[in-house]
Formats: sequence, C-alpha cells, structure tokens
Amino acid sequence: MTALAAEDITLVDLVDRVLNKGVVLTGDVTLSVADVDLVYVGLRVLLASAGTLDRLERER
Amino acid sequence: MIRLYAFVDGLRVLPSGLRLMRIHGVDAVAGEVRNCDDRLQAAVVHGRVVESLREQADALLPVRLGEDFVDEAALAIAVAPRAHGLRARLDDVRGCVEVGVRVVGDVSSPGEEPRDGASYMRMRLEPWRLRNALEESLHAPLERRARATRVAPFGAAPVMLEASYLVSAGAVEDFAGEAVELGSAWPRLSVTCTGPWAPYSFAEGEA
Repeated sequence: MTALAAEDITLVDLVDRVLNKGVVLTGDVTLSVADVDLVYVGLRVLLASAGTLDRLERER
Repeated sequence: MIRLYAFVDGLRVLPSGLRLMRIHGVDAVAGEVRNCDDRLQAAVVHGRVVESLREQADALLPVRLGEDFVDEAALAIAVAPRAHGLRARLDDVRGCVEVGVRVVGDVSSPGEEPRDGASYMRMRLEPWRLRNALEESLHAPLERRARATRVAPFGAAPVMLEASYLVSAGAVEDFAGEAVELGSAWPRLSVTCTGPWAPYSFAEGEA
C-alpha cells in the first residue's frame, strides 16, 4: 500500500467530499482526473494503491 | 456561468468574489466561474471556498462540485422545490462541523496459509470480527458524542472503518482526543481524524 503524507490525506479527504458529498440539485456529475472518473473513485481506491488507479484506467 | 457553493444561514462576512442570493427563503452563495481544464484544481478551489464560508456562517450546507447555472434565474428554478427541506437541514447542522474518522490496518497474519477449509473461513472472518469490535468499542462511544453519524459500508481491509460525525464546533478537540485515545487500544491499526469540515456528509438525507 502506498503511504500518504498527512497533507496528502487531507487533500484526498477534501476532494472526496467535494466530489462525492454535499447538496445535489441537478443530478450526478462526473469529473475525471487522468481519465479516471473521480466521482466513483473515492478515498478507498486512492488509499489502496496507485496501481489500482492504473487498473481502473485500463478497464475503461 | 455561476457556480453554487453552499447554502448558509447567519453569514457574517461574504468572502470577496462571491455573491449571496436569497432564494425562496434560503441564502445561497455562488460565484462566477469559467471553464477550467484542471478539474482537480477546481475541486480544491471549491473545497477551500466552502471551508472559508464555514468559518463565517452559523449554519452551512455545502454543495457538491458541478452545480453550475447559466444565471440566477436558472439557479432559483433548481432551488425552489428543495427550499423547504434545505431550511430544515440548515437547522439540523447549525453550530456543527463534520469530523472524519478512518481506521486503516493490515489485519492479515503475514506468511500464514490456511491449513484447511475451516482455517480458511476463520481467516476470512477475521476482518469482519475486527470491524464489529471497532463498531462497538470505537464508533459507539464517538457516536454518543455526535449529533449525527454516517458510516460507510464495510468493503474490505485495509480500510476497517470510515465514518463521519456531526459534532458541535466547540467540541472538536475533545472529540478528536477521544478518537485517538480509543484508537490506542488497537496498536496494529492506524486511526486518522480529519476535519473540521463543512458538513458534507450531512447535507443530504441518509442514503
């Protein structure tokens, strides 16, 4: 598992909340980074490993 | 294009570059945006705007990134059917912030191979036993300190517990202290407390 620094964890937590939580008025939005949909790639995956992101990208 | 950031009540100072709109009895904070190719950066900026509003409001409901409207009239149309519920939810979170708690750890025994079917099943059960123990001895005491909680469904190790707690803004330090103290009973696990955040996990009803 890739170790994350405290500030990285905070950033990941922030992005996870901004993309996955909060009031929704108009329905789902899908945002992506490096062609990976972040709405469905939450903290769990980011904590798992960078390899998981690579695999998700290949499966798209 | 205007981007909706949050619904607020009792906003003391409006950060520069934002506008406050009263829509059907609810105060909405939005700002002009241009198309941004760097979406990760957009997410970070959105989060920072919301956090700056949290520090200035008695109650705040953060809005998920992506709620963009061509003008205020379009925004008002989208808010109208939700206005009553939003006012009630602002009351639910008034004076509170969100604190995140995550428990991560490798619960497997390195090098241990199952000898037979029974030992294989015991190994598979181990994470679930640990999860149940964490819910009883770590989550439950924290839940008693919180106005509301949201617990993510258990997926698989290494994330053994991930929960958000709606906590009085003045009680965050005590809450985090108890989380760390409770976590010390689990030396193989890492307990991380994050926040205080705007109450993202409590902005909508429980899923």
